Amino acid sequence: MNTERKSRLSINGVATVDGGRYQEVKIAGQGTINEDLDTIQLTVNGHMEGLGDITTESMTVNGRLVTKRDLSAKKAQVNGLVKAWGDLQVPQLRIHGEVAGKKNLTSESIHIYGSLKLDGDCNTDSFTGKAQFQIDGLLNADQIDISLYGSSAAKEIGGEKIIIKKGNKWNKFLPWLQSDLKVECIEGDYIELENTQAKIVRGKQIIIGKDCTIDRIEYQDSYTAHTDSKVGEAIKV
Amino acid sequence: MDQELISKKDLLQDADISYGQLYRWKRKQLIPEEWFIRKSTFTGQETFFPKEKILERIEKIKQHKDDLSLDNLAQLFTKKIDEEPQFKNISLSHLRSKEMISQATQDLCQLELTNVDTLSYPQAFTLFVIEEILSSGSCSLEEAKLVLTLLRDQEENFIHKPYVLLVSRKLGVATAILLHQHDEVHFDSASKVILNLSLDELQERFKQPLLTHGGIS
Repeated sequence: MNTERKSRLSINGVATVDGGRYQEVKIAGQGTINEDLDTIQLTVNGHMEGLGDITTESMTVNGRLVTKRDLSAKKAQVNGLVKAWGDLQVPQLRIHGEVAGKKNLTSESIHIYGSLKLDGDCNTDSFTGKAQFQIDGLLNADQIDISLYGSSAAKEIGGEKIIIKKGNKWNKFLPWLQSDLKVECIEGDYIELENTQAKIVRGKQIIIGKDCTIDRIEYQDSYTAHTDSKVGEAIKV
Repeated sequence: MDQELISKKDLLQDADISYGQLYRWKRKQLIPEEWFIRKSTFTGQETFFPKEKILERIEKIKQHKDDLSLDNLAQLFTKKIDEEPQFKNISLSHLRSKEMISQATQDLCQLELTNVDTLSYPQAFTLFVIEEILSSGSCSLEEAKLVLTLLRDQEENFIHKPYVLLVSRKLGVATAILLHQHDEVHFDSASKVILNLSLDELQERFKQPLLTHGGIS
């Protein structure tokens, strides 16, 4: 195997290349990478399509990146759109646009000012920001602190500290924007919810804020609910 | 196989852990995905675990969590040995200097690779098993050789499966058996089990120094 890195790959215009190992890859027009790509720095300002695995230390996407396989980036800033058919491994992820994945996302820190859509699970230490998200599997994070902008959903949410609030910055301009969260089950040590519909919420300390509909609550230490919320039953276990 | 299950709620109470810890350990793959068993109950979906396995695992995590990082712990429990760089090319002289392997064991195993210092994980672990057997004093050299042949034959299997190693003796003749952990086995009354070793447990003991001091060549 050739382990030398070539210094630089730059696509300005339209081009299709094989892939390989580089120091730096910059795509300003439209680039298709046919095989695995391994680069220290990846910048996409136009449109890039990857047909092999993509591995990079640091990635900035201002345009659109679509990959048919796995994507691994130690650090990524997504200002446009990233779509991945395979697994996403991004320890440090900042989303200012949209990330969509067909499989799982593994991270340490995810900060969102935009949207995240996953067909699989999302595993991370922290999950914060102002976001709209749709996770078909489990959202598993130590710290979750999200202001909802738009309809969000997850099958399950689990972690230590889970705070879901309604984002209200756009209320004046976009009053029709519905910001809520639909989830089957939430489990955590400290849970604070607004605008959430859940079948079951289990935790040590649970605070139910405005506009929630919860079928069943199981709490260990404390539980309070806003009068605007509907709670089927709350049980101390 | 019927195994006793424990609900998540009871587990948190029995093991005295929090949701945060459980989800963190799941995320770090300290608790395998297949132990999370979903069942419908009258209150909706609930998660259950194989009781014995999960309590044992949590006990171990608690025991080690001060001296190993969570990622190291995951390596300790992993069965995917091939994917972990720490477990590739283990240096024999390093094992010797850490006194994990004695001269007697090395002689007995008469490595075909007398001049080679780097061992694959199964090779190194086989040595460690032999060392354990010899130092326990329960087996003779001949019986240890028997075990060695068995392990070498099963090299591909025994590191991935939760095996128990049994050596029984009847009328002075020894037999070595590799058995799946949860299987039952019965011997006739004339046979005497002289060795009963959980390879799973032994692997964890073997991996630990590799992870803490780095036994990599």
